[in-house]
Amino acid sequence: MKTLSRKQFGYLCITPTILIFAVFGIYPVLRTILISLFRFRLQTGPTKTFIGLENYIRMLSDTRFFEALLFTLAFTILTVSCEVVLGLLFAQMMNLPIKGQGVLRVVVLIPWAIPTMVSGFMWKFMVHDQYGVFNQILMSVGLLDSFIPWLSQDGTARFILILSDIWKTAPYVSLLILAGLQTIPASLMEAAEIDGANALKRYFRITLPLLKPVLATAILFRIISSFKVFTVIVALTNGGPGYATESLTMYTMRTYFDAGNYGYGSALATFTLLLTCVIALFFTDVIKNKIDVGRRGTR
Amino acid sequence: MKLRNLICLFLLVPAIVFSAGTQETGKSKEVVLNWYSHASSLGATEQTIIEAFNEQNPDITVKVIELPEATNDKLQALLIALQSGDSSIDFFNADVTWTATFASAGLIEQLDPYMSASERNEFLPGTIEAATYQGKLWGIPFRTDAGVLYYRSDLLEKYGKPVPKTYEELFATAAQINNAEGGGLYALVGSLANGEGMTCNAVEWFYSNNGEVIGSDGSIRINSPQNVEILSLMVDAHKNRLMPEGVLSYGSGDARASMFQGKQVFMRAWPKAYAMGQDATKSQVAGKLGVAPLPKGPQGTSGKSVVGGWQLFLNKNSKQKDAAIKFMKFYASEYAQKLHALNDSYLPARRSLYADADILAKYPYYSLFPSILESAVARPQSPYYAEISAILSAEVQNAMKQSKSPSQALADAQKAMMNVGK
Repeated sequence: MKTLSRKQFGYLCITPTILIFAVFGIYPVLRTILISLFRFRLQTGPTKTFIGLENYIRMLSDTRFFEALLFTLAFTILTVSCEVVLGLLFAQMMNLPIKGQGVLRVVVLIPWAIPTMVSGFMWKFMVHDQYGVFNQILMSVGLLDSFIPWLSQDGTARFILILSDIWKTAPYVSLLILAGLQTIPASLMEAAEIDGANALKRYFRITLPLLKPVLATAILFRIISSFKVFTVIVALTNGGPGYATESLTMYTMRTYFDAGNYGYGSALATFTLLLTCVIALFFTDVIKNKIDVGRRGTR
Repeated sequence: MKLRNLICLFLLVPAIVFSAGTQETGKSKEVVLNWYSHASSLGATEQTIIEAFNEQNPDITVKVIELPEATNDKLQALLIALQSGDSSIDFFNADVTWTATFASAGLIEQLDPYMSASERNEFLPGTIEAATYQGKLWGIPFRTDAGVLYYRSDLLEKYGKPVPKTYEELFATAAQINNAEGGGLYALVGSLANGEGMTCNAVEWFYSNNGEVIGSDGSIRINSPQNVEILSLMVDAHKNRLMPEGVLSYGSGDARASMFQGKQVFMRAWPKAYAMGQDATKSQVAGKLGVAPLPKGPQGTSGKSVVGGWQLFLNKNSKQKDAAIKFMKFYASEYAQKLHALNDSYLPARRSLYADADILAKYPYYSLFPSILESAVARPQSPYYAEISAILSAEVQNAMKQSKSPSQALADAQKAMMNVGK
């Protein structure tokens, strides 16, 4: 029996992780892709019929799919852009050397710490058409003449979903950005100040460029999770009214689990996966580049 | 480090961990049944019933395993387990809408050999119908449910109005009362949020106007003049604020809240709302609530309630079917259903209990149910029920929020339903 080299021992140590990843990560994905090529339904028993790309062709003529895709894209773009802008603002505020900084940081994080289902029900209560505080405030400041049934109309229901997601997740983004802010050396700022750069110039010329790698990471995280939005919709509208707030993930879940249409549901899931991968690939490229820029800057 | 030692370590740890679970087996001939049941805070009734069963059958142990709270989560958990051939589940609680899905997928045992015709006759016809798919029996009903109309008895009395028999009468009555009371009252409310609540309400509207969703021959019949007529009536009522503006986002709790705060003249809800509504700590209309059969549409013969409720299914892969049937029948017996009615206000699935003195003393309005339940309708019987229901709910909402005309919405629903399963 020979003894293990250091390198061999290292491989041995990561074997469990790789095995677990293969079993719980890679295998289900591959199987989903495979099933998407079959006609396979709960109701017709365990037989699978190979139909090639027919499930994907069906997606092209599925208006419910396109509605869900459009809503999901709009939701992602709006929530992520608002969250990044607000996150930058909050992070700057939390980074100010003021009294009560610690308290401020904790308070800002509260929305993010509340479970999504709970915050969803809170919002549902707040925007209720009969006793919602949202309506009462807007009416008392004279913005509304009568109560609005926020969750019963397409536009307002979408708006409330986006608003509640921003409220909940902007703190998370600001936390990531705050971490980035704290890595920017104070000496850089001082030097710029001596050179006569004003606060605005310092922010756009020094702070933002140095934040880019952190920002790119935060945006990537947010795009991916925003794209998979599900829980908050279940809590607030359950996809309604009609199909107005049905996200891609929700449609996939309903097709796969509720309807038992495993073939078509897998095709929808595969499509979502591919789209997410494309976004992620684009961003890993950006992150890599920006980190280089960042290094050059701090050197 | 020696490779052999390491491998031994890797093998040994799981062996120790997993061996702990296998020590229970191998007692006497005792049968252990696993019953997948509700996750309810009222589980005490189930335990009492199991104890009573054990007195007669000491050799059978029944273990209750709780399922997730939400009906859809229950369905998913059961489907995944049964499809993988899991035999540890012997029998389980099933919603009335699951029959076609489980039966067509071949996951449950057909129960005709175990239930004679006279045994079946002891149950309400609607509950047996809901447990039947393609002429065969698949479940034993233990609890039923039916939509009913709640009304403000004080207001109807004050203005000398009878309980309305038609929806037109209902809206007219409520509008008059609202005017006389100086406004602030809605006519009708129900759980019209997207989902099963919306489906139940819409199915009742259609069948109350002599319409259908799926015919007895399996054909899709949702796009009919009767259905368009009653849907238009409801769309107008919503438009004219005879229903709360936000009703399309109301679950059953929101609907009850509106009624219990005294903002409604009428409400469509399940019978369990009655006990809550009479609780003065939770309701401002305690003592002012009446219960009646649902009204009918302009072309209807009578108001139709949708059948809800629960039944027991037997897993096809269960290894102890005879023992399981013994308990299932016991759980659906008069004794057990009476206990559930008294403890948990479940509506019994057995006819005889509606004449039971103890039950009627506790819930006098139960005497209404035999006639409501005789004419109640099952929701569309289809293996693709989940899809049919989702389409129905979404398209009716499209009409209610006026993004489509009622006839357009129902034509679209017809088209979408005809594509289901293809």
